[in-house]
Order: sequence, then structure tokens, then C-alpha cells
Amino acid sequence: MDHHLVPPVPSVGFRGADTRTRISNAERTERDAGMGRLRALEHHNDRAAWHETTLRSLLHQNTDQKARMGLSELLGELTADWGLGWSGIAHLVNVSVPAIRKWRLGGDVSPARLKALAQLVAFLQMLRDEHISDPASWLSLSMEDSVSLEEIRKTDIYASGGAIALLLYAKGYISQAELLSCSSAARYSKSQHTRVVRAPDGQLSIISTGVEDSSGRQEE
Amino acid sequence: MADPLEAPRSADDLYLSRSADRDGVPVHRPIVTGDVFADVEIPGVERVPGDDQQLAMIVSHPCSMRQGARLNDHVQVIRVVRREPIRLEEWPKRYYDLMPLPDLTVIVDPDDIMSVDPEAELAVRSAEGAHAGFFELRGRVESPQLKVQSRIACLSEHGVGLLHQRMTHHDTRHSPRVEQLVQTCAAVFAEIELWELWNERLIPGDVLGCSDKLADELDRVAVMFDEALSAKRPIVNKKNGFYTLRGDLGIKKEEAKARRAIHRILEEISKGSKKEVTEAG
Repeated sequence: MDHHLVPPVPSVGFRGADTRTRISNAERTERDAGMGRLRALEHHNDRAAWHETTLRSLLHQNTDQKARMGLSELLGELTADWGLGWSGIAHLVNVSVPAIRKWRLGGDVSPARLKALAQLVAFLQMLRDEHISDPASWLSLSMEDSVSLEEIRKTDIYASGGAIALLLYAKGYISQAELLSCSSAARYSKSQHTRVVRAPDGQLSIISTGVEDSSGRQEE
Repeated sequence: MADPLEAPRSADDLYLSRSADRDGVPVHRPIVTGDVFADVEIPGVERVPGDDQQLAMIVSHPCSMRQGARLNDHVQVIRVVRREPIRLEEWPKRYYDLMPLPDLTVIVDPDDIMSVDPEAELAVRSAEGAHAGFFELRGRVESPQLKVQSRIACLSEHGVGLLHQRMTHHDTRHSPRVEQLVQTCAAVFAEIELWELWNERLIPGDVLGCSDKLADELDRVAVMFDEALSAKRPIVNKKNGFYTLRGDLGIKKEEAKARRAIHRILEEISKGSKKEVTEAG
């Protein structure tokens, strides 16, 4: 589609005055509409940015509140009340499963990690407030890019810092396409491909292909 | 030339727990693929240098090593022996006949090294702990030989994925993606995790030191857990329709709900047990 945000200079030439006026009026109207659109877009962007900021501070505020619960309460709530597993929690807060095991057994947790756990609880609660009845299930389901047909996981979007984008999506403020376009999460090809390649030991191997990293490179 | 195999980000990524960890290997965790046991004789597998501890790792697939809560009479294992360390960057390129097990018995933390020559000490400690499981040294052992008290390490889910990838490649030259291999075991690992929690909550602390009593308690909880997971539950608004919590753990959309239900059942049983103890007292 060819968008002209700035209209081309009108060619006047040898047209009659009547025609010139008509063209000028039409152009003026379009130009005004274009300017209006730009202003609206600017206004919309300002509003969108402001909305994101308020959503972010709401998440922070809820996170701080949840952080007061302490480590074992947070882990208990994530597993027993929300239905997440240890490996799921580990993935969402970017730690190893053994780290979660250590925390469960009374090991120390850094303030940053405690905050990450608290943010996850706050995030799930905010999803429930948006009438998502089972936020952990909602988060575990994948989405499909309608253009590339690749699979993108909401858990990957969250883990790569996309909590706010997911909340905006859950609230219906952004579309799935917008959510996916702003996410750096990994994409997985749904079709299975294998290739026969020469391995470093000189023999042939069959390898699976199809997973792409966030930069779009094919994994070799 | 393409590298067919993947590597973990670090040795710590490979294990869920090791006996060298501060908390050791939990006796509450049910036996599963990737567990390493000491003092296991493998019929048909000859003695080799470095096998003085007779270490063996379970390689049977987690989906097929049990009937309900009961381990099959036999499981497949490979011999684990001491060998020089294999650097992580070598995992994809070489040693296709083995599963490297770095820092298996000694945990090497560079922050703990106070020596005047930290590089040398790091190398010595890494060499002390490095082991590998050899796919050619494979056999089946009787399950009762595998005691939770003699378990020295458990692989993480990702570690089991790496093990399966290397073993499949060794057997067939096909290398499935680790991420997909992990996905196929996810429901069983979810079950193992919840089962461990049941063991923690329902097994009295005073039996932990007694091998026979602990085995009896593990069996008792295993039966309860299996009954809860395999019980047929009616589907609301569906005549004759039923589901099981075990089945739901394998369905992404239902998994969280099934986990919550399993937690709730545990809570009810715990309350019942406490009440029984109080009444008896």
C-alpha cells in the first residue's frame, strides 16, 4: 500500500480555473485529513505510551506488595494456587530448576530474584482481573504467527521481558500481530524438517531443523 | 560441516541435584531417567578403568519405566566412569559414544578457590569430578538394586533431553532437538515433581534414617499418589465422559488446573493425617 503522509505538489499546468479550484479543494481536504491523521497518531502514541507507563507502575506497585509475602509463600502461591510447575517458574523468572529447588529448601534468594517471583504472582493476578479465568493455562498456550505460521510461546514472551505487552494484549489494547511484532521471543517452526549433514566425525547425521532464534537465523 | 548435538550452558544446567550439593540428593524424589546410582552391578557389562564406584545411570525412557506407580522389574542403565573432563564446546563435535557428566561428584565453584594458583586447582577439581556414561556399556538391572539412598545425582529435565539426544544419535545417527525431547517427557516430569512433593509432605521425618521403613513409606505414598492421578473423574455436562489428572497433566490447556487439583488433594490428605496423629496422641 502506498501511503502519502505528505501530499505531492499539485501540478497546475494549463487547466481551467474551475478545475484548478476543484483539485485544490480536494487536495486541501486530503491534506487536512492527513495532518489530522498525523496529529491523531501522535496523540494516540502519546496516549499509548502514557497507558504503558501507568500499567508498568501498576505492575510495579502490585509486585512490591506481593514481595512482602516472602519466598516460601510466593512459591506456594505460584504452585498450589496458580498451578505452575517448578520448571515453568524457572523458565518464567530466568533461573535454573535447581535454583528453585534450593529456594524451596530454604536457600537464600537475591532481592532481584524475589522481585521476579513477586512480579510473576502480580502479573497472574492482573490477568485474572482481566477475566482470564486460568492465567497459568492462558500463559502456557502458544500463538501462531499468521504470516510465517511459526509458533510463539507466551511464556517465552514473558521471560524475554514482555509482561506489559502481554497485559496489553490480554486487555485487548494491542492485537496478536502487534504483540508478536514487539516480542523478541524465540519462534518455532511447526513443520518438522530434517537434513542429512556431514558431522565433525566425518560420518553423516540426520539433524532436525526449523527452530529460529530471535534474530531470525536458522539453527544449524 | 554441521554439529549435530547440543551442549548445556554450564555443568549446573545439567543436574537437578548432586550428592556434593549442600542439600544432597533428595530421597523423596521418585526414581527416574538420568538418576545416577552407586554400587550397581550391570549384568553383561565388563569392568573398565574408572568404574571403581560401580556408578550407573538410568537411560530407560521416563514414559515407559513404570506401570502406574511401580517401577518395571528391570530398567536400562549405562555404566558411568571417571574420565578426563570434556569442555562444553566439545559436546556438539566429539565424543558421540558417551554422555559427558562434568562435576558429577565434585562441585567446582571458582569463587570457592582460594589457592595461590586458582587455574591449577580448578583443573584438579574439575578432573576429580568429571565422569561420563558410555552408551556401549549398557544393560538392564533389577529395579530393587536401585536404592534412593545410593543415588548420587539426578539430571535436570534439560539434562535428560541432552542424554536422549546423544543416545539417539549414537544408536541411529538421528539427532532430534533437545527441546522436543524435553517436551515429550514433560507430563512425566510434572508427575515426578508433584509426587516428590507428596513424599515430602506425607512421609514422617523419623523414617528417613531407616532404609526399610523409608522404602515402605515411599511405596505407601506411591500407591496413594497413583490412585489420585489415575482415578476416573466425571466431566461436567458430559454423560459417560471422564478424565484423569494424569491425563490432564499431559494436556497444556488443562495442566495448571490438574496441578491445582493435585495440590488440593495433598492438602486434604495432609490435614487428615495430622488429625489422625492428633487423635492417636
